[in-house]
Amino acid sequence: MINFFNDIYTFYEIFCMNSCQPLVNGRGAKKQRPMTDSALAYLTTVKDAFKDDREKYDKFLELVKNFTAERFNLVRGIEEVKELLKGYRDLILGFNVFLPKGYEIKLPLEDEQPPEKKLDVFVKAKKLLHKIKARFHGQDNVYKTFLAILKMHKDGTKSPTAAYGEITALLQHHADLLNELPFLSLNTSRTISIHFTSAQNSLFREKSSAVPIVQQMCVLKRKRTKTSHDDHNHIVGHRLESDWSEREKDNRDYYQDGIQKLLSLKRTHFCMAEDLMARSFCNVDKHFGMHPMPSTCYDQSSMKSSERFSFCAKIKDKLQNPKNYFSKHVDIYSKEKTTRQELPSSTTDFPRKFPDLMKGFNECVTQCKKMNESSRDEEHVQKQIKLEDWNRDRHHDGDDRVKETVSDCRKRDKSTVVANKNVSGRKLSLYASKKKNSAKSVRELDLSICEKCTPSYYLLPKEFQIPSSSRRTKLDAEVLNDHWKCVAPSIKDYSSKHMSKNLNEMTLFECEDDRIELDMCLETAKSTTKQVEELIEKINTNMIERDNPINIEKHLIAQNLRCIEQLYGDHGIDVLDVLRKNASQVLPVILTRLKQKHEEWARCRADLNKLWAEVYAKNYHKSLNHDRVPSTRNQEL
Amino acid sequence: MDTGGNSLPSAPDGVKRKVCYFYDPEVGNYYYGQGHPMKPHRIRMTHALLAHYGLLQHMQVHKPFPARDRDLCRFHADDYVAFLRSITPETQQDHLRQLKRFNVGEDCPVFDGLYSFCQTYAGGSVGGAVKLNHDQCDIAVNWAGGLHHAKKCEASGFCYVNDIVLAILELLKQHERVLYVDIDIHHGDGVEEAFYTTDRVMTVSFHKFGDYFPGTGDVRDIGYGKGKYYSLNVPLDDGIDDESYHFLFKPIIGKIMEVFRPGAVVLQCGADSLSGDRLGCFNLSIRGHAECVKYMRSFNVPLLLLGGGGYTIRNVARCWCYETGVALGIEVDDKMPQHEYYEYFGPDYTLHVAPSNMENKNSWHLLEEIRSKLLENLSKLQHAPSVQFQERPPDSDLGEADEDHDDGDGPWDPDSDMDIDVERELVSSKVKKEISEHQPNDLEDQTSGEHLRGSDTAVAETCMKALDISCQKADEDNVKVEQNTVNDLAKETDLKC
Repeated sequence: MINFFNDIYTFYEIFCMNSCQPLVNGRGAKKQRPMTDSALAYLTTVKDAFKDDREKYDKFLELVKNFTAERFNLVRGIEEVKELLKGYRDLILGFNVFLPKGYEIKLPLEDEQPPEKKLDVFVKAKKLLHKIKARFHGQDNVYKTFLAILKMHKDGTKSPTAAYGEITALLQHHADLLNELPFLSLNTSRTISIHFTSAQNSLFREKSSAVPIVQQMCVLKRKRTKTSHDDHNHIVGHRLESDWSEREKDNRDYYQDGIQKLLSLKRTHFCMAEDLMARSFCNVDKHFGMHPMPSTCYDQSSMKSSERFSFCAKIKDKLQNPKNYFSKHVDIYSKEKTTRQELPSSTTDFPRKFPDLMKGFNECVTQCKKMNESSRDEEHVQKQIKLEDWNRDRHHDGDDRVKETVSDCRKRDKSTVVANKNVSGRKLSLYASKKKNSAKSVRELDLSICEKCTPSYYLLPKEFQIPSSSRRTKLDAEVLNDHWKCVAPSIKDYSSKHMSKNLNEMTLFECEDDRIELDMCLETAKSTTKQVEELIEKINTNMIERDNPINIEKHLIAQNLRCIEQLYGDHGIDVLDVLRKNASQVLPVILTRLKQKHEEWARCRADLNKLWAEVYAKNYHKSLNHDRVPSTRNQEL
Repeated sequence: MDTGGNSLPSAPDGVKRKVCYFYDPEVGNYYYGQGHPMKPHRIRMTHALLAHYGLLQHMQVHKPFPARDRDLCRFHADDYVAFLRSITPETQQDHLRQLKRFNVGEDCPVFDGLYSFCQTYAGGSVGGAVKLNHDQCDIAVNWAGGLHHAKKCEASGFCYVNDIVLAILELLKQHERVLYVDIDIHHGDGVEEAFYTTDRVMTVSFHKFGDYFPGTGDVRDIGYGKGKYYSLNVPLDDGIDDESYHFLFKPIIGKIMEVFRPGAVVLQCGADSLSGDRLGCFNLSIRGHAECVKYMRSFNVPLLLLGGGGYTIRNVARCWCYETGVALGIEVDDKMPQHEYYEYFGPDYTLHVAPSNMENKNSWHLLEEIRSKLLENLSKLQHAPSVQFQERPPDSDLGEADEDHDDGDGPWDPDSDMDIDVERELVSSKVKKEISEHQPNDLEDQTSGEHLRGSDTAVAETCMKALDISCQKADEDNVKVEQNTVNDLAKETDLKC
């Protein structure tokens, strides 16, 4: 994600200067060559070369900007570039794309051109930027906001997660644009071989295209919360934490939570006031802790849907003025202190449009306030998030070094902090050495240079150490293939060609998703209830020694424990700890809670089934219509 | 629209097939994560339909024994299996390098009970193969299986353990040649790769090709070495309908059955090739999809039916329910009975749904070109020679406690034994009922047995010997099981023998 933002913003800066500002050529006789894709690829190469020396790269960008704005003498500029890129012959020669004819830099030997895959990355970023600009042709505010987010992220005033969340909110009605974001992000962050990159991207593109972006963030958030750490990481986390100002953190949290709540509200079509107060965003989605609604709610379901839309639209307007948004947010927060007791608990009513919007804001404020009240937990979560970022960066650096330099083949200890120094070794040859082949897993091999017997099958190198499958019989060994590897032939961007579903189909899929989430809660609770009842029975009949601490993991499987943990929301882990210490007394309490929750969900399902039936009736038959596509062989029953 | 070739009830197709069905009641509770398109819940929905249509009464229902490490390591690398066994959502952040190495983390996430899930669905597929090997059924069904993308050392495409490869290895103990047919919309790359160089397994995959995961499955990928011409790829384009599909399927499969003469067939019935699938782009109706099952069934060769892809879960359940009926020779009523997941199937609440009017991008010219190319490849095969029978390797004794401790399985927990025994008792009672209902089949089997013994005494003796070995092993195991379950085990063992 970080690399993606940097790439696209870098391109924007240069592109804008060249195409928006008329050139004033002081010499009168020379014309500058137009910006080309190779120039963009060149910039990417420069950035990669200086990934460990950000200051130098920034200086280089400054030179490029100054040059394109004609703010300094051409000859002197060339000398500065030569000095800055000293030791990188290919980069110096590459700079020629910016220079007019007759002023090219010439060095004794030519170097190779930048790899094609880096060009692909930058081309995709450019295409995405153009697409966004065209999409919001009549709404310059959205486009400018997008650029502002990228700039803030690049300057370090906005974290990747926050920037990503804001962009998600901006583009929430443009699924195709959103779907391109993770693809580009993933691509720019990987340096594995072309073929495996292709496989990975195609996996993500095809199999995951139905995964909403917000839910991916949800999953990411859950992962971060669960990151384990040791003393060393604790120290590192503490150091990282001190770099953040408290005010900035608070603003980011408010903003982030607000966006997530809005998207959640829109998606589920219901308010979940009580559960929003008690649970994090992830838990809310997973549990759908909805309460029975008065029957009049269903009569207004379409109206509420439009209210949700207008609510989001209103927030969208405010996104164009971030400062005003935060200011107003804080005001509401202050007011809430005096009217806390008046918050509605589980009953929802929408007598007027405005209270609905106010309610949405209040829910956000309540959530933020709750986070503040449990500052210790929040601090823990923040620490985990920062540790996660730090770990990822360190891991990423390690991988890059191993892959890109022969001199750094040595394995690095995970706990060792990577020294911040330039890597001056030559890039790894395309032909991997024998030693490296034997040390790598098959996924790390570049098979494109290996023998090929049919379009998709490559022969693994002789030096490759075939992983052991110790249980193979003679028969198995005779029929199984260990030497020819099936590889997707080339990198392809699947997203632009994949046939899109129509809107009615998407509505049905969304409805089915909601339905299965609720059913998973019900079924998991039912299964856990059964297991807990059996365990209580065993305890009561003395089949298990009562006095000794019971090993919970032997009687309840991972899914049961997860169900109990999520049942108690923020206190889930605490409940599990108490359960492990004193199972015989805690289990009956948990059992009661499980049954209670199951009944709640069952009632919700009964109520929601009516709503979902309407959605199905309205959308099903239209979903079969794909007439948008010209058809020569229509099939209709 | 029924295509030609459907048999009348009085034709040979009308003969009843004995069907074994593998299902674990907990399989629906595995959860890939919110928003992930793969949903094991669909298996539970399918089962509910089967129950309320009354189909469970017509077949043997088995809870699969979980596959053990030693079973998984017949195909998969040891370190990969060890990784799957140990990784949990809590610990995965400490193994980022391994996650990357084994391709676990995005399409194939770490979720609670991941390893148990793999053991369950792989155990069902291998268990089905064992049943077929013992002639205890003609068709075995495991809708939880069919995960065809998994490779020896890595996960891929929502698949972790390749249960199909494991099942085929089991079938090869009894059958000289096994045919694998894949009608999932994605190319069955994991199975094809595993058997790319052997002539004892033929793999056939009908799939969307071109700018589509996994990107492999070119018509020119025909196998290598001894396996040359034993891999067939049928590349297709968007919008293919029933008529176009069977224009290719039946001639190609018919030719294969004639030339290759497999002793057993594995059919992967991925339902993402149906019209309206969330990740798919074909336009098959449920009847068109099931026509493949009907056609394979008509050859009267031992048949293993497995699940696979399928991401519009209401249509997955419809399809696999109908196909179970096809396996049983029962025409299932279109009107759906009331059941706990009834609401998923609105607004019509019928078993069959209309395909869409999407464009079929497969021109007749293209289809004819593909068909002639593939038939030409098949003509290069020699007709399958008769191979002298070899002594059969011992079965995988799934779930039986064994005396050696060199695998990673821990000793069985007494409470766990209780649960399994309770389930087994239920299975035993169903098996008894099944036997009493199908007494004529038993007589028929005896006749077949006598014929077999008359034609080849050596073969019969070898089979008997193998069975005796299994019995002896089971008898030894009885001593180790708790006293109060001895009778149940004995009954189970007797039935198996």
